[in-house]
Amino acid sequence: MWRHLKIIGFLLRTSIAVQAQYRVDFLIQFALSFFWVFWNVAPLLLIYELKPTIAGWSRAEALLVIAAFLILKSLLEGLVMPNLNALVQHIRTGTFDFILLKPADAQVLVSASKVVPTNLVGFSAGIGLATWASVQLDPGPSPAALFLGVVMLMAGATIIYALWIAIICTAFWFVKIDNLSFLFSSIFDAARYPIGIFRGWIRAFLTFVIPLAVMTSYPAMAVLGKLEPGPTVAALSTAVLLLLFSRLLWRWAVGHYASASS
Amino acid sequence: MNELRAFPTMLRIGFQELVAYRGEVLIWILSTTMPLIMYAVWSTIAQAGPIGRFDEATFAAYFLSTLVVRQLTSCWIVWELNYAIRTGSFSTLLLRPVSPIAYYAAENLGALPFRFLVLVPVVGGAWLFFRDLPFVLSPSRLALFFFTTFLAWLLIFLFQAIFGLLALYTEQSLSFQEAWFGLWAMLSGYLVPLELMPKVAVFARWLPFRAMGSLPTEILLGHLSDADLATSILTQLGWVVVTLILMRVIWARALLRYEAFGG
Repeated sequence: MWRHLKIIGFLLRTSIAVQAQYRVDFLIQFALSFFWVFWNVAPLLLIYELKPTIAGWSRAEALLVIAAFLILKSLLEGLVMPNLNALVQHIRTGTFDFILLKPADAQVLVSASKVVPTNLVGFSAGIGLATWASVQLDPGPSPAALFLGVVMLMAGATIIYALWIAIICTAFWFVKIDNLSFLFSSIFDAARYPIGIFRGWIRAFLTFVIPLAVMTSYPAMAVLGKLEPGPTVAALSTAVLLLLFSRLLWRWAVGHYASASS
Repeated sequence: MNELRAFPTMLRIGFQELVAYRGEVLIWILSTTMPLIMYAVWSTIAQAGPIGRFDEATFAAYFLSTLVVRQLTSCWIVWELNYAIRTGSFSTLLLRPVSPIAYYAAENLGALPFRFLVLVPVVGGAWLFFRDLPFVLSPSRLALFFFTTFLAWLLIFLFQAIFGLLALYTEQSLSFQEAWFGLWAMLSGYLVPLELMPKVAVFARWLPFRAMGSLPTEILLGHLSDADLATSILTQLGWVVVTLILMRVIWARALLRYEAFGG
C-alpha cells in the first residue's frame, strides 16, 4: 500500500514536469479554465434571475450542486480521463505490455500516470462556490451535515472512477472507444443541475442508470440536511459495490488482453 | 473548376466513410445531449408560468429545433486539419487537384443523409409526444429554415477551417476552437434563448454566433417580424462574406509556412 502511494506521488510529479515544458499551452489552458468556470455557473445565475426558486431549490442550494459538479468535473478531467484515455492508446498500440511488465499493480499505474494541473482552477472554484453558498444558507449547515456532504462527494468521485474503469475495460475487446468517453462526459453535463429539475424517466435514468444525482445532488442535499438515511446508505453502498465490481472487471479484462504487435 | 466536377464524387466518398464507421458516428450523434438537458431545465422553470413568449411547449419546440440545427450543422474539419498539418498527411491533400477545403466540405456534407436518418425518429417521436408544437410551418418559413441552416453550417465550417489553418502558425489552434465553442454556446442561444438573456447581451444579435445557432430556430418559431427577419439574414450573409474573405487571406498566407513534417 505504502509503496503504491509512493509510486503515485512519483508518477504525478513526472507528469507535471512533462507538461511544464509546454509553457504557452499551459498558460492558455490556465486562462481557459477560468473561462470554463464562468461558463458553467453563468447560465444557472441567469435562470435564477428569472425565478427565485426552481423545483424547490433556491439559488444558494443550486449553487451547492454546481459546486459539487465543478469539483467532480475537475477530478474527472484532471485525473481520471487523461489516464484512462492514455490506457486506450496503450491497448491499441500494444505498449500496454510494458505496463504489465512493471513490478507494481497495473491498475495503479494506469490510473495515476497523468494529471492535468490546470483543473486545480475548477477544483478551487468549486470549493469557493460551496463555501459562498453555505454562508448564504439560513440556517447554516451543521458540522455533521458538512461532513456528510464531503463523504457523499467522495462517494460520487468513487462512482465516477468505477464507471470509468468499467468503460475502459471494454477497450480490451472493442479497442477504439474514445467516443464512448465523449458520450459519458456529455451525459455528465446534466449533473450541473439539481436532480429535482428533471422529471419523469429522465430523473429515473439520472438516479438509477447513470447515477448523476448521487454524484452532485446528494452531496448538496446532505449539506442541506435533506438527505434521508435510506438514500444515504444506498448511495454509499453503491459506491463501494461499484468500486469492487470495477476491480473485478479490470482483472478479468486484463486477462483477455491479447497485445497488439508481435 | 475541378472542385465542382469532383464534388459529387467527394460527397459519395464522404458518405461511404461515414457508413464504414457508422457505430462510432452514431455515438457521436447521441452525444448531443445538451438541448435535451436544457429543455428539461427550462420546461421545469416554465411550469410555474411562461417566461416572456416562452411557455413549456415553446421550449420544447425551441430545443427540438436547436437539436436538429446542431446535428445538421455539425463539423469536424478543425480536428482533421490540425491532425493533417501536425502529422504531415496534409501533403497528400495538397497534391490533389482539388482544394483540401473543398474535400473536407464534401466529407462533412456527405454525412448529411445519415444525420437526417437519425433525426427522423427523434423529430417524429417528439412530434407524437408533444402533439402540437408551436412551429410556423409555411413552405416559405421551411425554405428559410433550411437556407439559414445551410449558411449556419457554412459559417461554422469556415471558422473551423480558419482555426484549423492556424495550426500552421501555432500548436494551440485547438485551444482557440475550444474557447470559440464556449463563446458560441453562450451567445448563440444554445443554452439560453437569446430573448431571455439580460438586456446587456443585446449585442449578441449582431455577433456571428446567432447566425451559427438559433437563427433558423427563431424563424421556424415565427418569433421574428419581417423587418427582423430581413436584417438577421442580411447579418448572416454579411458574416459569410467576411469569413470567406478571411479564409482566403489566411489560406494564401498560411500555406507558405507549411513545412510538411515527416514527409
